[in-house]
Parts: sequence; structure tokens; C-alpha cells
Amino acid sequence: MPEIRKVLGWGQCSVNGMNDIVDKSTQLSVEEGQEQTADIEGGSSEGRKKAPDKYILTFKRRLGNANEVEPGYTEEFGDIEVEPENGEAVGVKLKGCSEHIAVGFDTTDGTVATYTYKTKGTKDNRGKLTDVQLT
Amino acid sequence: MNEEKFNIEQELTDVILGKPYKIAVGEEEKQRFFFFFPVTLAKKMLLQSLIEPLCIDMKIMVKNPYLETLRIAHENKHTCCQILAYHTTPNTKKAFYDIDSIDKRREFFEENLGEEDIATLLVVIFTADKTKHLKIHLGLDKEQERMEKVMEVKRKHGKNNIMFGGKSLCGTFIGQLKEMGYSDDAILFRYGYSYLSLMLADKITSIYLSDEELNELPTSVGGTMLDGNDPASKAAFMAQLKKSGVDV
Repeated sequence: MPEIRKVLGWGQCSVNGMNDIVDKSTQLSVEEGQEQTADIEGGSSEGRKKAPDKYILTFKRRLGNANEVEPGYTEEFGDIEVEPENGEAVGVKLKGCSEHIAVGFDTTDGTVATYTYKTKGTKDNRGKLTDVQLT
Repeated sequence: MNEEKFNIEQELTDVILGKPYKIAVGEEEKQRFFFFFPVTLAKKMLLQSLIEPLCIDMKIMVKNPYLETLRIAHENKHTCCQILAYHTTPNTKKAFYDIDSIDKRREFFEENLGEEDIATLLVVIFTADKTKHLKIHLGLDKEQERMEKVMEVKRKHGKNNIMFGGKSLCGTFIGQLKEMGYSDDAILFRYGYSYLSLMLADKITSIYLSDEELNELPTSVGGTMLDGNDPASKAAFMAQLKKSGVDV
């Protein structure tokens, strides 16, 4: 199982223009790509390859009723951008993400939709990760 | 040391030492001296029942405390003198239940204090509690916020733990102090409420968190997750992106 580690959390922010995000629910995690090695008998590692890191953005929105959003999975959703309230703070943009929406209920926020976006680990021809950027 | 810091240190010293304030009541030959002792939990609870019926207007109290205490001294001289009598009661269980002495002091105050004097003394006792001020200055309010955030994560991860109790002063304030070794007598009658509150708020506490739980908390609370609303997190986030192989 690849390790998933939370990197950033926001108090108040908007995501793709949505301003009704549950306070402190927006978090960016990284799924660290696993390293694969090819060994030769009796020798040290011959080749190493690291899978790209994938970034995962999650946040919650309070809903008036469960029909407001369509739960489910979209493989090719597109880009998603977090804009913190304070312009000087850390903003992030994920490109070419998949989207997953789940609707649930909790005693604090009532009916909530949990949005999850995940990058695919796209690299350019120099081997640089291109689907996550600081804004 | 600047003046503000010196004053705060002095206030803290007074709270720790339980320093009483001396007052003089009455004219020349009839003059007597009394002490305002720190308010204990027992006194606090009893005084609450005396103060509540006075219907103090907190808006006026904040803007002009003397004006408001003058009004209540005029309308409720008897109760105000009763309040002063309790404030001048030494901090022992015996003195607290010595109704005769308390009544004698109340009568003396009623006979020897004018409404203006009572109003002045009430301002002194109503503004004497510096606990909140000290907690802010010492950063204990922020420590409390940090601990609440940590407990939130702990509750989320320890879903199978169910807590009971802690619904009243008995389970929270008194219960915790008893665990620290204080007797009922000391908590209720001997030590000032302000001193005990500070003692509880500043008690050294540590909570074990797993790596996973630590990662749920922002760095400002002691965790490992960066705070996106803090511009200072930018550099650390850039380092993370660089580690992932992003051109930054």
C-alpha cells in the first residue's frame, strides 16, 4: 500500500469558485510513489524506478438536501484550484484530476458532500511532475 | 522589564501568594481595618447567588463600573454589604460558616459605609479577578485551543472510546484538582479560585499521538500538516513539491 500523507490543510478557502466549503475540511495529501528496484543475483540493486507522487485534494460542502449533487466517480474531471481567503497564503492547482463525490451525514454538519480529487502523476519529457502547482 | 510585564508579573505573584487587600472602614476612633481575601470556590458559588438578583447591567459595568455599582449600592445596600462581608471573610471553612461574624461585619458596613463608599469597594472586588487576563498573557488560552484540536483528532481516531461524566464542577474543576492531590477543604475554602484555575490551565500535560494522528494536525499545533492559510507555509510546501519532482 502506498503511503498517503497529509501535506496542507486550509481553514477558510474557496475551491473552483465554491465558497460554501466546510471550515477546515480542505486538505491536500500526497500519495508517495513507490520505488521499485531490479536486483541481480549476488549484486547490489541494478535499476531503480520511482512511481510518480499523486496529490489528493479533499473537502466537504454542506448540502440542503442529498439531491443537490450527483455522487459518483469521474475519471477525467479536469483541473481544481484552491484559493485561500488570504491572497498571500498558499494556493494550489491540480491538473487533469479524477473526481469522486460521496454524500453522507454527520451530526455536526448535517448532510455533507465529500469531494475527492486525485492527480495521475503526469510528467513532462524531462521527468518533472506537471499536474500539481503552487499558485 | 517593561511596565506592563512588571504589572502582570505582580498580578501573578499576588494570585500565587493569595495576597489580601487591606481596607479601612469608618471614621477615626470607630475606624476598623478589613482584608479582601482571594475569592475561593465556596465564596464564588455563594456570591453568585447574591450577585445574580442585583441584575447588574454588564454594558454599563464595562463602560462605567462606578456608575453601575452606585446604582446597585443605592437599590440594594443590604445585599451589597453582605457581599463585602463575604469578601472580608478569611479563607477557612470555620470562618466561612461563622454566620455571626459575617452578620456583624455586614452590620458594621451598613452603619459605616455610604453608598459611594460601597460603590467604590464593589468596583474593587468586581474588577479584582485577573484570571482571564493572566491566561491570555501567559498564552494559556492558546494552549487550551491547541489541546482541543489535539483532542478532536484523538476522538476521531479513537472512535471506540466512549467518555462519561465531566458534566459539572464536581467532575471537572474539583475532580481534576483532587487527582492532583488537593483536599476538598483546600479546593473549596483555602485557595483562591483564580490560583486553582491557573494551576489547572498550566498543568503540564502530554498526549501521545500516533504518526497518523500527528499528520492530522497543523504544524502550529505541533503536528506535521502545513497550514495553507499561513503564508509562512509556502517555503515548506515548495520543498515538498520539489521532493515530488515538480519544477518550482
